[in-house]
Amino acid sequence: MVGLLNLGIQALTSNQKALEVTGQNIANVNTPGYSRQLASFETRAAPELGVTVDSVLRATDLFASKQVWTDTAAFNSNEVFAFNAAQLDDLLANEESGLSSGFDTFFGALQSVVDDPISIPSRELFLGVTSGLERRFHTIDQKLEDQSVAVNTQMESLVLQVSEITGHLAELNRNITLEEARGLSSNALKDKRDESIRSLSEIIDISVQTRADGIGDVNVFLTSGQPLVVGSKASNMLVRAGSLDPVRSELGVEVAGKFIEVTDAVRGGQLGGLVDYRDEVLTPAWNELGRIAITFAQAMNEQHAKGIDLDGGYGQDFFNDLSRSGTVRGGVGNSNPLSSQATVRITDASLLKASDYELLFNAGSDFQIRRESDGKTYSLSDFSFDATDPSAQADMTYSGDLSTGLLQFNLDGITVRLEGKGAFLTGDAFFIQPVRNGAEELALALTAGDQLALASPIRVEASLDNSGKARISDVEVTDPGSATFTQKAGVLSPPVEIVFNSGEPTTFSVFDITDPTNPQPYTDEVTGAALPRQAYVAGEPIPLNGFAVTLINQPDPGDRYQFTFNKDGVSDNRNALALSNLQESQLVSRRLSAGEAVGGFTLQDIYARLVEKVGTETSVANLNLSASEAVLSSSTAVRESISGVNLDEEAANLVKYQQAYQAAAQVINTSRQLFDTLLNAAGG
Amino acid sequence: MRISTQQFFNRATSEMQAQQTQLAETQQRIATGKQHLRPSDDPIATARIIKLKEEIGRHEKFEDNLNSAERRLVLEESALDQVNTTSDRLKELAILAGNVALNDSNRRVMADEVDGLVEQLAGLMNTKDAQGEYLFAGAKGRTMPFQRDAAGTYAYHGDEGQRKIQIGPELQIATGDSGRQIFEVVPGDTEVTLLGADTALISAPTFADDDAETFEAFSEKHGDVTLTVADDGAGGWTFALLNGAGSPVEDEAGTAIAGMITPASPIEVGGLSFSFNAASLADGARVTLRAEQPRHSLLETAQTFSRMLREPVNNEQSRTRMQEGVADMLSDLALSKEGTLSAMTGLGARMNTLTVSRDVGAETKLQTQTALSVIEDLDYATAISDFSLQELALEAARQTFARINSMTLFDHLR
Repeated sequence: MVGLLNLGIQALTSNQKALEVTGQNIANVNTPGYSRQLASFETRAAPELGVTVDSVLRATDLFASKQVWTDTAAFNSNEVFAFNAAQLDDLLANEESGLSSGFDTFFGALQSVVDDPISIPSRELFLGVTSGLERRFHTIDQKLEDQSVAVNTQMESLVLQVSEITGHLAELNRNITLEEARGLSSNALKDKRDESIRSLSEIIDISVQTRADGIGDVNVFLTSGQPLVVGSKASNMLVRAGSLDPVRSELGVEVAGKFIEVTDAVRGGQLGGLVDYRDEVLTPAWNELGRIAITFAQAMNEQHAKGIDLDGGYGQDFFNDLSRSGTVRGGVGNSNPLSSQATVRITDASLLKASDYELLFNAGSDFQIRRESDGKTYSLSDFSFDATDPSAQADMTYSGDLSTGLLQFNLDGITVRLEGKGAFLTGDAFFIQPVRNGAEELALALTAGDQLALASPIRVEASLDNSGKARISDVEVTDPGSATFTQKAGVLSPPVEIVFNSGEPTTFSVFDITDPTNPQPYTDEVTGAALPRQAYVAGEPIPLNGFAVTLINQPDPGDRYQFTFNKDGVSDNRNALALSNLQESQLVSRRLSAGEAVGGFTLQDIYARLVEKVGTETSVANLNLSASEAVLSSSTAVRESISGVNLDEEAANLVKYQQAYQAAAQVINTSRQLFDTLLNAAGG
Repeated sequence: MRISTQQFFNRATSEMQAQQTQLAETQQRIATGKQHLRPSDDPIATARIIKLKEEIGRHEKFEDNLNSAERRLVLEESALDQVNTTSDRLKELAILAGNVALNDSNRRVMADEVDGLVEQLAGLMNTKDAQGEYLFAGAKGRTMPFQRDAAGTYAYHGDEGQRKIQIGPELQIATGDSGRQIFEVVPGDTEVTLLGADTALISAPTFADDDAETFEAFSEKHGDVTLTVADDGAGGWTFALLNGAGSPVEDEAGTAIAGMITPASPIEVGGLSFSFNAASLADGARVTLRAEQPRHSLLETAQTFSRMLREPVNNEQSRTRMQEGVADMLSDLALSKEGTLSAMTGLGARMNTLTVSRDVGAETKLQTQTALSVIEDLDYATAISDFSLQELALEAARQTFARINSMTLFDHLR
């Protein structure tokens, strides 16, 4: 009879406990990271009999949780990548801010000065439109810089969060061990720990080590192996300015007081997404923009210098000179600091690559140059030594002496000159950014419309006595630095006459007609010798000092052509036409073949490729995002199906335990009645 | 599988959010009429759109250029037309002047009219366009091409520059002609020019025949020729004639033109007659002979004509001079007319090119626009049906959510 009472009491308390658990489940239905709890009933063996709730279980599965953590890292990485890429994506192709429509407007306005070179309003309008194009370059550049700054700021704040969470995790590990030692339930703490790990995997991809039964510490490592939390110890994660490129912040883990760099090892999570975005989209786009700016500016300047302006002066720089806009930086730990002589100079903008370069000296006075855009490396043996004039060396040559700390090499249209304070030593590193600043530094140098050099400096006059059918098809300035143009303003030095001779085959003589009544043989300024009589080949350019002349068809003996300075040639638009032809010229990304630059793309082609590349990356990121979202939602579903609270289920449990509780109460009541019956019988 | 209550809510809201995003996207497409809102929607199509827009931009420029070329050519044509009309009147006057019944005062009246016509012609030849740029000055658009010098004679001050503008992908067209080409077509008398440091070597050459025909033919054949002098080592001097290629010039019989020099005694070479100056003889002395024939415009001819009309005709000699003058005037007029006519023919050809290019350009532009529209523009039928479908899906999701939401076991536990 006492047994029955005890049974009743046990059932009552057990079901009361189960009702409490159900209540806890219902209360935490919306708590993030909460794992459903189950009261575990157990039968007591004879002789006591009855039931007891010996423990409250957490419904959880380590595998499901780990899957959620991995998928969370992937999802967050893609989300950050897609979010940032979408901004650039919108910017580049935008009609108002994109370069493509900017170039269209620019070359359109150039056409109106081609049509009407004498009109000052057209010239001013063209300069105005050019400023507009310059602004577009700056706007996009600014946006890229803003993104770069934002990436660094976000990295800083995320790294702070990482350290906060790892600290928290270490503390949880300690507390859980303590609670377990005391024999208390650590379910709530474990939920917190799992949730913290999930928050951590939002930021960075981690690997988690724990015992399968969930007892004991949880250790957290970066996927590359560096420890973040081991037992009750947490490592700090740090961020610092890039050692070579200051705007490229580096991530590291503090292990035993040392900064271990992990930037390239970080994958997944928001940090991984940021690093990926910076390396795969932001930096290449920034360099490409810079390359377009530099190639455009240099091509315009080069052609503009071949013309004369409204006042008869030779064309000044159209844009400011960007050939020295690149930078070289020495590594922080270099044994040999750079003197101020370290320079990068663009020698042929058409050969430029949209890339940064890393130069690392290694043993045996050799070095390795790594082109970041495609990872191609060069070492000393790839270059040939060239001891000639260092200001005009060809690509893939070098000069200098590594043991005295002097090196100049020529690669991809740039000339890099390093002058250290002593021999270069193993481990000395240099970072070269030839094109990064191009878009930022692009600036229109002309201030007034009349400075536009739209005319050719050379006036051609065929003698009125000419009876042959020949005519001049082209006069091209090949070198505006020639003495022909530079010696004296307002004249050609000297003016030239080409006279055709009689006899077969047709030959011609070239005369210096400084004194028209006493023509002198024309002297080649390079060789210093008089130009000999030459055979005439129709359509073949005749090279003269600083310019070349092409004639077609057959001349008669005595036919002659004079080349003088184009004084007052205000209606001439030959140089304007040449400028406008730049739109169709393959100026960018040419390559060397047997010493000649070949191939390449037009400015707008290369920009379209940039838009396409960023668009593709964004589109792939969006696809990845929805894929990883689906994966995350399914792994979350799996976890939730194990650990999540279902209110209907809890309602049923409530009814179930309530009924059992009522039944247990009835057992007690029955026991009492039995006891009363017995008392009455005994008393009766 | 179990489903947790929280998950059920989360899933329903995120699904509805996704549907709303889609709906908003479709709405934006419909509002902008564009198939692709950003490059990532279709990166390859975007690159093509950029290319096609660039293409259309170029064609629009070509259209502008065509119009600007046409404006200039039309202006030039009308100026040339008037030049023609004016020279026709000059021709009438020239023919009239040949009439023997005219007296001096009649001719003076005619001379006044000729002077007026010269002014008019000069005005036409100095035509400016709307920008104030001289049409016939070549590249020297700010320099008046036909200016009167102190002696009152007109001379050309422009150059031969011709402005070309682009009217098609590979097509440039000249938007003008220089005044030298069109008007400076009346040849003057052939002259011989001595070039070099030793021009004193020979006396000023005269032509062996009256109209310099022999020398003209000689020069036509041999170009510039150089006379060189050499010491024969025996106290005498020899001369030789070299062409520009440095070979000896041969006469019609095929013998090289060379010989001993007898100072001060005239010799005849290639239709030219001159003598050597004893004082300038030196070994290696050389002088280059160049034939030059200046050209002038009708203005000068007309001025000469007018001067002649003002001279009294009172004897046989002056009458002959008068007749010759009229004949010269008529032949010069014919030459000059040929110049303007050939320029007008050229203009006509260019106008034709413009028309053809305009048609071709419009066709190409239309094709490009069609291609662009196919890629870029929204197919409204599809978009609107997409929109309805998405709307329906969202509505269904909302309603089912509301229904399922209202079902809970707790409702039944009363």
